[in-house]
Order: sequence, then structure tokens, then C-alpha cells
Amino acid sequence: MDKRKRMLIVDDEETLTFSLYQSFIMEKRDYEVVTAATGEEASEKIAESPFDLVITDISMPGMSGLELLSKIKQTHPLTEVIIMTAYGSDDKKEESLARGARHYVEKPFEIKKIKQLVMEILQ
Amino acid sequence: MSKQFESKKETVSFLNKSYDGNSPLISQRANYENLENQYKKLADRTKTLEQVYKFHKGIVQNISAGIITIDFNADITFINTSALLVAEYTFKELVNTPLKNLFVDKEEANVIIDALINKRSMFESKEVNLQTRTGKIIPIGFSSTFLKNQNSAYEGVIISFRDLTNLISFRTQIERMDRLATLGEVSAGIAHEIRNPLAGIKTSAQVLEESFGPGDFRAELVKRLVKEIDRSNELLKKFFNFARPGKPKFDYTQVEMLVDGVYLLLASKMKKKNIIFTKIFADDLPEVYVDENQIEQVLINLYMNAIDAMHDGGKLVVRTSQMEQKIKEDRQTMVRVDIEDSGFGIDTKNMERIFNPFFTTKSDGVGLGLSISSRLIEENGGKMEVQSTVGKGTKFSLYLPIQVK
Repeated sequence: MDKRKRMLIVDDEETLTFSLYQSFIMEKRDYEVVTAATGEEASEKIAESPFDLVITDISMPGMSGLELLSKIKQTHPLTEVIIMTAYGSDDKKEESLARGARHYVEKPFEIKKIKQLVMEILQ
Repeated sequence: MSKQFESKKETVSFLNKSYDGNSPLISQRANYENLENQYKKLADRTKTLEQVYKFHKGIVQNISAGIITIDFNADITFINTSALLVAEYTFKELVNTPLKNLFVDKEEANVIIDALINKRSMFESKEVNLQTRTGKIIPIGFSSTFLKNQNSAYEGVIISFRDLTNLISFRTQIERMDRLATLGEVSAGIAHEIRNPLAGIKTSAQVLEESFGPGDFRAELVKRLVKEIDRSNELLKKFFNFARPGKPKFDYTQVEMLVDGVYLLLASKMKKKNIIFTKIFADDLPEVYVDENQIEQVLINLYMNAIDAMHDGGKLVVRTSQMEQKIKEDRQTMVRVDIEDSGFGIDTKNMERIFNPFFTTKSDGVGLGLSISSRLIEENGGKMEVQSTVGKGTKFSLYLPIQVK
């Protein structure tokens, strides 16, 4: 039997993690959604049990999203990562993709777009 | 026989006398030689003096600094060529006239002249504004020393000055860049901080929208909410553009192509407003080394401003040329693009502010066009200048690099 797919949403912006979480729960699809407020918390949760997909913000107190991305790519190379950021420059985009991110999304985004990217990765 | 002898004896005696130096003939000759020597010496000294005079005159007249001397009535006693060129007067017109006439601010002139003449103060690099014959205002920096005569008595004051127009324009440009860079960092920070909660609000709103059935008026309300969030986000994106335009992706490109391309984009708009577009391209213009998308963005901004400045039709002339330019202490050959309109011009009091973010005179403008443009040009290693006359029009000049630095 296939293991249930797991997704982790990481952002210190609680409104965003909560609304994204609700949105995926509402879909009633067969995957687990977990949230974390910092890079450190995310690392711990990944260490407990790996995820198929991590969606993370870049700018967070403590470990940044880019650091988290590099760490994930070292320990769990199969985990896909989507970077989301409120920065407006392409510098971070290039860096994110170079570090192994699958997608780069600018905040605020269209919920439909995020869902589509998630679907592509998890199904 | 004896008579004949006597006569010969006289002749011999005369001749002997003639040779002993006391005779009138000999002394005349000596005097002549003496005079000739003196004349030669005098001629030599005059020649030397003339050379010294020419040398000093050459220095005083050819030196790039303006030199003016005044007497204790503060009347001009001498003014050199450089000073006359700046003031746009002739020597005769200025000599024996009050120095004060050349100052823009007469009050300030009184204070300075009082300090020079009554208080015997000296100035070093003092900045004042000078008014030329044609009414131009030239910023100068001057220093003063006392003029003494042979007996070391004060005779007046020597004022030497430099035209600071270029220096000041360079200084303002640097200040403008610094100000924009700081503002850029601040606005980027603010934009990032606002976009984060905005993302939370938008996602929440969209999730909420999904929870309402179609036709529910609440879904309509939430849709409007999202629309407003997007509008705010667009504004924040402009902030980012201004703050961090993104590193230019440099490549060689023909500036004529960019000028034409942007014209095609805006041609219908120009036609609608009765604006005649003319392009004058220089022959053999080298390719520019820039990010073509960024320069295109600048051209769009400048064309749009020109269009907005011409309510009842007008002319938009784009001219290209090649010239030597000083960029950050470096002289280099650059391509210049002039974008000149026949619009209503920019008020002098707004001139320095037009590059400030959020400064606008348009009712529907955000005020970021020129600040972003000036930043983009700077990032591309170029420079932007503006000249404007109210009622006549405005000319923006872009200087673009042609080679890899």
C-alpha cells in the first residue's frame, strides 16, 4: 500500500500557514498537511519523519528558507521544495533554483497556482 | 722753407693731440661707444622685462581661474579673460565698476565686501552666485588675498574664483544617487514587510471565497477584497523596481532599435494626441552595452512623460549622438540619446524634486517613473540629465556606455 503523501508548510506568518493549511484540508485529498513557524521547527519535523514536499518562506527569524532548502537537499534529496517570498527581486529566484528548489513563487500568490504546483508534485 | 716746416710741425702736433684722447674727436667717439653699450644693455633689459611681463600676463590671462582685483572702493581695477568669459562682459565694460554688480544677492555682496575691505578678512573657497550679462546664474567658489604695492602698502584685494557649475551638478547627482539608494533600501524593506501580511490576507480571502457557493454575495465581497490586495501589491512591486531594479543583464544592442521599438508601442497614443514623432539618428553609432529591457523601460517612462506634457499636440524628437562623457571621474565615449518634447516644461522649483520617489504633478501618477528611470540608468553605468523651459518643453539626455567596463 502506498504511503500517504506528506506536505510541510513553513512560514512565520501565521495567517498564511493557517489559511494554506485550511485550504488543503478543505480539498479533502489524501495527503497530510503539517505546518511549522520557523526553519528550526521544520528541520525537527523533517527529522522525525520525511516529507514529500516542503513549501517555505525565505525570510524567517533564525534559519532562513534558503538554509532550510540546502539542508533538506543534503539530508532528503527526494523531498521537493517550493520557495515562496515577499522579496521582489529575481536574485533570490536564481539562488533558490540553484540550491535545488523545484519552484519559486512570489507572495502574495494565487491560491489556485499553489494548488496546481502542489498537485503536480504530489500526484 | 721755415714757413713750410712750421706748418708741418703744426700738423704733426695736431695729429699727436688727436691720438692722446683729450681731443674733442676722440672723446666724441668714446661717448658714442659708451652710449651704444648702454643702449644695448637697456634694450636687453627691456626685452627681458617684456618677456617677464608677457609671461606673467600669459599666466594671469590664461589661467582657468577667474581673477578680479578691486580697490578700496570695491571697484574693479582688473579682470582677466577667464573671469570675463564667465561674466560675459568685456574688460572695458567692467573696469571701474562696482564689484557688487556681479553678485546675484546684493545683501550678501555687501557683507562680503565689508569683510574684505573694512575688516580686512580673507576668504577661502567661499561659494556665492554670480550674475552674468545675460542673466545666467553661475555658482562660483572664490578665495581672496590682499594686493600690495611696491612699498608693501595695501592697495586692494585680489579675488580668484572658479566656476562651480559642473562640480555642483556632479555633487547634486551624487547626492541624488545616495538619497535614492537609501530611500530604495528603506522602501524595499517596507514593501517586503507589507507584502508578507498581504499574502496572508489574500490567501485567507481566497480560501474564504472557495467556501461560499457560487452566486453568494459574500463571495463577491471577498473577490473585491482580493482585487484591492492585488492593487496594493502592484504598487509595492513598483517600490521593488525602484529599490532593486534587478541586476542588469548586459549585452550589446543597437539603441536605434530600442528607440523604434518603444515608439511602435506608443505610436497610437501619440497619434491620438496629435504628437509628431521625429527621430534623428547619428551615422555609425556604436552599439550600447546595456540591459535592453531596462533601457526600454526608461524610454517608455520618458516617452509617456513627454506625451503627458503635450496636451494640444506637439513634437517629440529623439536624437542620438556619440560623445565623450565623464562618469564617476572616468572619461569615456558614450552614446547620447536626447528625448525632447515641446510640452509645458518643468517648473524650476520642481526641477530637483522630479527624481524623488512619489513626487508627481500628475493627478493619476504615482511618482516613481523618473526615480526608477534614473536608478536604472545608473545601474546600467550611464547618466541622465534634464533641461527644461516652462512653456517651451523638456529635454532628457541619456548617456549610455558602449563598452564593457
